[in-house]
Amino acid sequence: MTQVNVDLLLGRRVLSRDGRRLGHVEAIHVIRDADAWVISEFHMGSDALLERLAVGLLPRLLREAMRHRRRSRSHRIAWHQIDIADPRHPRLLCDETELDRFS
Amino acid sequence: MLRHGCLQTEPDGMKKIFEICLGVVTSVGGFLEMGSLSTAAQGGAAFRLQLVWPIVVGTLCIIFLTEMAGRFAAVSQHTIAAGIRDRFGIKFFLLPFVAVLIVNTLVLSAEIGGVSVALEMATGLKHPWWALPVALLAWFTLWRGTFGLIEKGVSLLGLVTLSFVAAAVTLKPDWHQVAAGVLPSVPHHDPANYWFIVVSILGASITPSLFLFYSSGAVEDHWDAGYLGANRAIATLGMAFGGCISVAVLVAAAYVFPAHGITHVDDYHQLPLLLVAVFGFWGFVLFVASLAFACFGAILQIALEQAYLVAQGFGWNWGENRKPRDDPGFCLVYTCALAISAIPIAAGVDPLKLTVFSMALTAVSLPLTVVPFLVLMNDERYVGRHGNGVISNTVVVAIIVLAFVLAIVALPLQVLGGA
Amino acid sequence: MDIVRDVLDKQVVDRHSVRMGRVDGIVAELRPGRPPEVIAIEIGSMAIARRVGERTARWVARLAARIGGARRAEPYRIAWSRIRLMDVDIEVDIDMNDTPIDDWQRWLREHVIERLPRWLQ
Repeated sequence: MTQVNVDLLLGRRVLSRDGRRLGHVEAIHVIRDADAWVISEFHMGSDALLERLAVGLLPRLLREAMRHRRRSRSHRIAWHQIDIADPRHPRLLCDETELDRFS
Repeated sequence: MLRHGCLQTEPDGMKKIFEICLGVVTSVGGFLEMGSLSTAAQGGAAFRLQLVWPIVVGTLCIIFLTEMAGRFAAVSQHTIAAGIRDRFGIKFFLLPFVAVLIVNTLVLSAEIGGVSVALEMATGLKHPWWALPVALLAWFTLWRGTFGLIEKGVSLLGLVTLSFVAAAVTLKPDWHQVAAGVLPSVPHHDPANYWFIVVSILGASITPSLFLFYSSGAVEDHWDAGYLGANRAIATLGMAFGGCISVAVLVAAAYVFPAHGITHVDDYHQLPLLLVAVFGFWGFVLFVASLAFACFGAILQIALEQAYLVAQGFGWNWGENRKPRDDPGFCLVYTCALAISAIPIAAGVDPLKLTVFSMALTAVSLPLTVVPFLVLMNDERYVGRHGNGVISNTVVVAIIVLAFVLAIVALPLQVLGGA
Repeated sequence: MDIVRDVLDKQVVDRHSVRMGRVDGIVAELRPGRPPEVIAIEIGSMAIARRVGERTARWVARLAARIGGARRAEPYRIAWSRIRLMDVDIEVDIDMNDTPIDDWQRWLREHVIERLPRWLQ
């Protein structure tokens, strides 16, 4: 049973099964499972550090619109759909099309 | 993240007014230091009353930034440095962290140089000899003092800098021209030098160390959401009146230096003339006292800010009110900061040149601290419904962009032009 | 809960509300056929160095080992089960004096501060 530093996943490029660059890991969601906390899914978004910063500076209304636009381009990756054994180089285990988008 | 359920008793009205007055007076006394003094003096000598506008623009920006810093600390109960690490993670935090550490080290050297120069003028003993004793005295004050003593006591001593205001008024300047100088203008001669001085004045007014320290101070003084009004008053009035002292230095310089044939202030021995020309011997005494107290206050503030930055960024125990044995790491940082910054002055680096250079460098580094700070000020998770409005964001972003653009243009020009 | 937003880089305090450091790393255990379980948080310069880069991590590890011995080359871990509260700060059910996190500050206290003359302490 390997132990990995999941903090190293943050901001890393996610590669598809055939090595194409998809997006960056933005969030790691955990849920409670009896006594333990387990990782349920990862959120992958587009790169754009500038975009992330700019969103923070915009007035509230525009910010909501921007956030909505970005979320529609983000994907949710369930725990079983990604290989994080090497946290610096996460790879998808499934096909891109199987990933859920944000509604 | 908001602290829900913190009990706020409605503060006593008189107590609040007293705190506001004390806060304003402290800000005024602590405003002027080697950077603002040198750059305003140079500006006045070289371009007379034309350069009032960078002081006004810089002061406006720092008013917004300090008010935001106080609001942020009071509402989120975080300091800005802690907030940046919290929100952006370690990798992004390291950028402003390293930049501020470096810039602070240079500015701290400049302030140690300021006190050393004041002591040289008072005693005749050359300033490099004073570097280590000054650093040692500052260290001892931080080691034994409490935050209240440092913030209030030393800043009250800094009120002697009001002598510059007295000097400016005594010189009976053409107030119409002073008012005209508030509007930005282009230089009639020596553009490279003009824009370089604009950049250094902006850097001297908008020091990141100032608003970072202000947020740490708010946490040290246990501010909460009940202090928002007081914060607004202190930040606005304190910084505005403080800015007036800088303008006074510029006005005095504009009248005194050209009258004595000086258009380039490049030797710190020229500085006392600002007050000597107006008040004679007592002007000299007032100048030495102003320089010494103002810069000493800045030394304490910057050394503490270095320690706050490291301790808050890495989650150590921190606090000037604690005994050193309770937070040895925190104390180690300010000890090292003072020791390292004393070295250039002890080695004989010219304090005036170092000051002006570090002010320009400050202007270049501004976006690295201000942009993340602005993001924090717009993040509901930290400031709740007390976030920034469009005006605050726009004004600060505009001024920072201005400072940065001018800096990257003016710095190489000045260096190439042969300062 | 998003552990990036709500746990990573947050301030850690011990059971007496003493600041211990920040969450510099989070460790998960990979189990075949089951979701990875988060088992610990890490505190220390080693964890930070690792996040900055692999070369930095190796350099800091060598430095730490030379100063404090081989055990220093690994960051300090706190089991996830020890976390009591995750609000503004992460509260853990540990006494900081029982951990090696503060060792260097303790060293400073014993070997530097205590050796100063009484009036300076």
